Amino acid sequence: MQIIKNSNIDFINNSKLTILLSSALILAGIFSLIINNGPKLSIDFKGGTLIAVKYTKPININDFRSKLSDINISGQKFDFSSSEIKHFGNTSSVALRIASIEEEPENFSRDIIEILKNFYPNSIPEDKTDFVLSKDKISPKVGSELSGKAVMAIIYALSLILIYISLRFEFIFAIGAIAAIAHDVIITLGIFSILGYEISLSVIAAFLTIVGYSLNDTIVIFDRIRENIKTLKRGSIVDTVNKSINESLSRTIVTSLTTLFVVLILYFFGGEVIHTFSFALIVGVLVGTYSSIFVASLIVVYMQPKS
Amino acid sequence: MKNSLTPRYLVILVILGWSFYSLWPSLKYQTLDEEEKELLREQGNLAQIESRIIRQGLDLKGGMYILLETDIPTLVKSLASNRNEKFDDLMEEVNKEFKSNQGKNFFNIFREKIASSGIKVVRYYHEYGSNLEDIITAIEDETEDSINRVLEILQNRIDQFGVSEPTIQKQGKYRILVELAGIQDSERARALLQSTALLEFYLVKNNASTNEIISQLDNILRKSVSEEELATLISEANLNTQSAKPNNNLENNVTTIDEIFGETTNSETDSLGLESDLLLNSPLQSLIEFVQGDMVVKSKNIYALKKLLSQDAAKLKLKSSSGQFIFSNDSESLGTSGDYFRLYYLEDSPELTGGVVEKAKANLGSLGGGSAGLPVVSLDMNSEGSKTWSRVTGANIGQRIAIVLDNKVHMAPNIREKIPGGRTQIEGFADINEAKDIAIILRAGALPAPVNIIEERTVGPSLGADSVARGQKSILIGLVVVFIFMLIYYKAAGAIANFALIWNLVLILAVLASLGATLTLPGIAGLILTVGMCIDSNVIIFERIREELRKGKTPKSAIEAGYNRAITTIIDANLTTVIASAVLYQFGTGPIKGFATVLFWGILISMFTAVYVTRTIFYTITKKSIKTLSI
Repeated sequence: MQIIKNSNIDFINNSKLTILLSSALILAGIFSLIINNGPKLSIDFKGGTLIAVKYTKPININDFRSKLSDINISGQKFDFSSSEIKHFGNTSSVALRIASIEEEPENFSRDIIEILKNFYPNSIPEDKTDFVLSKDKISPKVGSELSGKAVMAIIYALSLILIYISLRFEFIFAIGAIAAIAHDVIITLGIFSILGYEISLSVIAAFLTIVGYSLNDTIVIFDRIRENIKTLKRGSIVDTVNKSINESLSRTIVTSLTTLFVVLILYFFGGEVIHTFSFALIVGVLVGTYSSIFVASLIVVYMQPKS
Repeated sequence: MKNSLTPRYLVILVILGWSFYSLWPSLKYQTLDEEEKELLREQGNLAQIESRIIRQGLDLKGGMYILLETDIPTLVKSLASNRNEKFDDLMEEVNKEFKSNQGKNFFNIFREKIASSGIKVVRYYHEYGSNLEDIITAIEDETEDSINRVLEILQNRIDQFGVSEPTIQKQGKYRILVELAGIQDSERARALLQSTALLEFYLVKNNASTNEIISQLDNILRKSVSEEELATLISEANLNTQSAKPNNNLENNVTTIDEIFGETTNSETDSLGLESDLLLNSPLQSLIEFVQGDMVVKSKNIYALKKLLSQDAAKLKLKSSSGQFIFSNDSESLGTSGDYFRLYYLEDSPELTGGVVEKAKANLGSLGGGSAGLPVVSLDMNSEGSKTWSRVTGANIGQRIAIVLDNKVHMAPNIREKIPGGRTQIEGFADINEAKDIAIILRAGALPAPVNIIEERTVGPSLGADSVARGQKSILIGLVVVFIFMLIYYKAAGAIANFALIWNLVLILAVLASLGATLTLPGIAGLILTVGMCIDSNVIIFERIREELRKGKTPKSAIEAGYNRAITTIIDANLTTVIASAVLYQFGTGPIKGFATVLFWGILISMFTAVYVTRTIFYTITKKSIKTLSI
């Protein structure tokens, strides 16, 4: 069986469409990032408390929210009704995110969990230890450290990859590859911003995986270009690149499909904890495949010295 | 040809053997039930097996991850002797700067502030050196020492608490990482870790001076706190008074301070207006009520009261009167009017501190005593402590002494007689578990510095189990889908790739087991992702072989050419992902690290299974020259 047989698509000369699509996606993402004041960061980077609890009956989020408007912990009053409240996995579990509080009462998380229990006292799991699904509490200090680390990780990964590709290929290929990665990450970041998804530590991990994956695709094509430049000395660069993309198209599509299968399965069956993580991977696989076919090589062609 | 393949078979066999050898303990461990594990534990063999299995991360097993940071400002402050106001102000400033400037080293700020304020630091730290640099170096050493002691003490507490395979390690200079797997009651563990275990015995000041300080403070507060400020504080408290008002029962049980001390306001017939006036005129008095001679405060009013007491003017007054207000450790319900905390006015220096505790044991109070059947902690003091204790109790018969743990009064009994022998009992625990935990922390000793929890991640047992089930399901479905796809698309060659894929998974698990690595939920995601990426190498090879076949080559030479050409592509392409995963491993914590580990090994191993192993299989098949290749 074969999906693609002897394709002969002109990827380079139809570049207008590519440029249009990519810039539309990038601009939409950047626009959303600007109006939302940058990406929406999770408590991993901002600090705060995230509590997920399980009731035995479906919970109405609005009702839950209204109950949170008047919370009294040892005489200190809080209004958490504007916090982020979501169902967690299913409708009877709820996740509540509370920004970090300056003057936090002692035993804050213990007290808040008791209060959450009393919201629906008749729908508490029989085994009380099952009530709290997870609880994360991160101080703003650790949050800012983690953001710093995440930024450094991305910078390190990108520069190491840039060095590696420059060594194995030519520098313009490295530029093409890095541009393609930047393209992928910006678009994924934009889509996250448009959909209002949070950037957490695991999403950063997903981003780095996307970087690796998209590069993988790009390099397979670059490899072909390198090989074809050696064998087809007379052909124009545009023809060589087109030929190379077409030759590796079948592989690109098959691999993308198998990877897409597994990340879709992760998304649908992996559960709430890795939901956004697998969503980032889905977007990354799609955008990564697109960019390695259309964007990376295009940049290499444009950067090629005219002789 | 036959000879040239033998080394390949050997390599494959050896690796296959090794992977089963490393996976064996994990497989065996899976089949053990609790009883057998207990038996092995008694024989001392369990730890050996456990060190060689794939451990489940906290996100799969359930448990808590806690990052503690030593409170350096408090520690440095406590090292100082002859402290005065000037020094406290300086420390306040240093602290403020340290809090707002997270990245900066505390000791640098400390040094700068001392230099700019021109304060003579030797006066406070003369034990540590004679000039600023010496002192700072010595304090830094002392701080590090303290952290090591904190580590030891926490280790001790956790050991006695009884958690299987706890992880306690220093992270950086001033932090301690604690991982407790399978913990059911995270709040209990939290309290156990965070408690400083500072036990102190203070004399309680008598009623007359208590009454005096309250009215003096009210006078000061009336003057120094603006009406609006007072009103906002009170508006919160007021609401509670209102809600408690209709309850006549309460009025009978609880007498307000005004009645006791004969003040004129008639609280029984108060209208709301009068009530607010009272609150404005004497804020403290209106928040404090009296029960059986003890001051009590509604839990809802605690915040307002603490706020009032922390006003600068009030703090100053308290300092000059050498007294302090401390709350009881837990609230109790009095009558039907809700929860109250007791409030004590104590001397500001302790008569005795917990360093003298030799033994601490939790049990239920003996029959006949006041605490019959209630959880108590019995203390035995060392000889020095016993002497002081008998002197203090002897000299203050008839007075009350408050037993204060971590700045909370557990009990304040009357001293009826001199207590020789250094024995005493602490009451006031919610349940026997709390008493047990307190006994543990008293035995393990007080922390030399307070610690703050700066990061806490808890996964409940049910979510962990759910994640394991979902992870397994995802892997199975992912495998099946990819298998079917490969079989349809590449036929017999697809079967070879599938075989390599299974082997890839087995090998990853074997490597994880032999590294004693931890499998996390993102790690499982990494496994699934590797399934997708591992197949890629075979796709690249197969597509090449197809191309070569199309050019009219024989199967044998097509395979040879396909592999040779594909290999550089595969290495170049995979190495970038290896780089990304290595960086991830470097910066990631816990779960992310698990993901990076799996991805890293998954890709490296896929280069062996998807290239070396499949190639060997192809060679074996094409040993007899075949005409067509099912690809």
